[in-house]
Amino acid sequence: MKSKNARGHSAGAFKALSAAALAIPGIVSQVQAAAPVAEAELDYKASAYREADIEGSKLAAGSASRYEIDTHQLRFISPLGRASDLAVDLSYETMSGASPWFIMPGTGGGKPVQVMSGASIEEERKDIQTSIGHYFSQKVSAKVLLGFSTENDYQAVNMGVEASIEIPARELTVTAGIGFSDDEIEPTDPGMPDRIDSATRTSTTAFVAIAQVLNNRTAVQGGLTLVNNDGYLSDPYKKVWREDLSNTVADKRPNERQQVIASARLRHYVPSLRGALHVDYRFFDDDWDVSSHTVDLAWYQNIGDNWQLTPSLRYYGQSQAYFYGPFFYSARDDGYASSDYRLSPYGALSFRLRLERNWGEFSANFEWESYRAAANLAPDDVSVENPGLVEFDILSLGLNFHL
Amino acid sequence: MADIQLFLFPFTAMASPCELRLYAHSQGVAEQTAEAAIAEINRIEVKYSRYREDSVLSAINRAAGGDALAIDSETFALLKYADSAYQESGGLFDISSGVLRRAWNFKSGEVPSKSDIAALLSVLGWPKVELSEGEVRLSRRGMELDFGGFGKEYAVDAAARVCAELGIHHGLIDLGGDIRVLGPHPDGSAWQIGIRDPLQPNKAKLVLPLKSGALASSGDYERCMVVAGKRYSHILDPRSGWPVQNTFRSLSVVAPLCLLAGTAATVGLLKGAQSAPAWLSELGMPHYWIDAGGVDGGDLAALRP
Amino acid sequence: MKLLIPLLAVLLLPACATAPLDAWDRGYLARPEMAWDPDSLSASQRSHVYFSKEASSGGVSAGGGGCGCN
Repeated sequence: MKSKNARGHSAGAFKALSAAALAIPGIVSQVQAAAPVAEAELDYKASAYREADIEGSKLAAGSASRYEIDTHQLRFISPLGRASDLAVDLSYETMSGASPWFIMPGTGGGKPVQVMSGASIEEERKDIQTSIGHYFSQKVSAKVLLGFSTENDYQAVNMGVEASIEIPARELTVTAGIGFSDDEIEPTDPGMPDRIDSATRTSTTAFVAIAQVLNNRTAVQGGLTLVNNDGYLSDPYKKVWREDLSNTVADKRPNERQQVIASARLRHYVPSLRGALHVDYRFFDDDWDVSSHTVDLAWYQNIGDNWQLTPSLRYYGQSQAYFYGPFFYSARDDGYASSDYRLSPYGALSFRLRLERNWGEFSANFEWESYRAAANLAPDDVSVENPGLVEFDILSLGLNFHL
Repeated sequence: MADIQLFLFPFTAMASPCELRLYAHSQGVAEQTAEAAIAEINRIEVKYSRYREDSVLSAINRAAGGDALAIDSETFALLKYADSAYQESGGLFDISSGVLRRAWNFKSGEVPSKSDIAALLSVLGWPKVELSEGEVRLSRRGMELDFGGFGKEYAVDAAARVCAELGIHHGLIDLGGDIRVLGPHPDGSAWQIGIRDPLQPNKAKLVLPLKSGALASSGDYERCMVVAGKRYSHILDPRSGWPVQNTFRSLSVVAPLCLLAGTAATVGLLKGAQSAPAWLSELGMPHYWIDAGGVDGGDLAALRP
Repeated sequence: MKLLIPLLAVLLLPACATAPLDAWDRGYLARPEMAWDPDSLSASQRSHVYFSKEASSGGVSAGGGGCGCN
């Protein structure tokens, strides 16, 4: 059969044949399309989190040693029937140590100093998160999430739904979801003066994310999340020093908090180096005046056939909440006050190193993280650094089994 | 805990000597993968075998001239592929042309008569196959479909899929010369695949380095009939019912999928030594041929030492 | 106003649309280290630590328990 434009006909021939070949179910693995997990997997991770002692010059009273958390995590994922899958995440933590209580002005006009709580807190946290995903087609899937969390003084239930739609013609995936969490706080030592007996708060989240494949080795994702918190948002264990009273008052924060988070991430593989670059950026903004930037860079280097070494660096910088101060001379008009370092202006740098060894059906990994927060790392100038800024190291060991 | 090693699994399937070469971290993993891949090859062979009464293909052939038969998505997609190949090859790739074997018995040394061929042409021809979503019907009694022209290549790609799904990314699948590379050797080097010299079957005329993709070959040198000084090739043109004249002794094509390489090699051989080179070049698949006179050509010929 | 730029960036992302990849060309993207979170336990633990020790939160998911973290 001859055609006038033989060249056009044959170029189309390759496309036509390829398209027909790829439509055969047995030919190419459908892994890139929305699909349930292919096989069951069990992951375990043990982590030891240790905060550095607070510097002597920053400590007013109380324990210098800070928080220690040991965590055990277990994750089980499995296909469920032909078009669904299940994920169960269990977490068990034991926490002990002292935490920042309130801040006092420095003696002789020096820098403010931290009063720590006594090192007698020992707590347990148990958390279970489950999700079931269903794949209606290669393009559409949905997930339902349900979780419970309990600590000595705290209980929470959370639930959510997510849906995902793929548009193969444009190599685009759109994901959206909503989540809801209901928390109850019953502080230990409720007998302490001006400490609340119990309180509740709720949290509602909505997000949308769009992922785009740029070429055969690059993918990007942009996301927007809105969070609304309602209820008791203060920290029942923290106080604020009031010069005019020569005494402390309870940490008091607004009853509502609205947050917006915009995020972007990139995954780029470099075949000649056998490594992948991860770049993550997050912009956070809320109506407490806190706004922050987070940049996370990681390089996944494959070594030989069985090893992977991943160094990574994270920078975080935040501004302060409008009702924050290391201490106060007098009450604010709105009655809010907090000296929590987590609402102070500061920046933090964290360096991580992860090493993984793969044996096929089984792999093990070891990770170390070192994190340091400091006012001079903040994006804006900070006149007074919060003495309670934290430094910590985390060591973790993980095991992964294909079942 | 071992580093990655090469495991070899020779076996027989589709009346051909086959071999899986898999790089894996342990013998256990390699054996499990080989078992799964061979099971998949056997599944396809059983499902589409002309020789088995219980095969889907035999059921389709038995229903020729009768009612439409319901078929599953795999069979439907394979027939749609055959349809696409028929269109893109100008009618040369035709899986309903197997009936011609009734007239051409190469062992007997007899050339069929024109009326024998005419009778067979009336029960042959892809346009006589009615294919609709989920159903197929061979519209004349005596019609037959034969997956021999692409079943083996499809099985190679399906076995490759199984291996990749089980985590094997370095290796090679060889079903009687139809090859699909899973991935290069662990050090990144290519598999060196020899293309046989038809006149000296133990020697490789060309060594082709492949890191990925597939290689399929079609040849005219294995079976033929010489009657009254005239050579009759076993490659039959479905449009005329007669052997193709003046074609290559062997044609090898490289493509991302073995199915595509195999179709191109078959069609190239049917187009003949005159028209095939232009068609293959425009198709964009690297190829290598050796013609009746022993002369070779095609873009891969540059690799010859 | 601070939000406008990130918002625009997110919404303009689909403009980078690309022609679909051939199915056999997905090898690199399928590599485990190319996942959004190659180690999900590490990602969830890290996310929990930062949520407890910093003022920000957020990620593209609807899940995750809260905590009464100090």
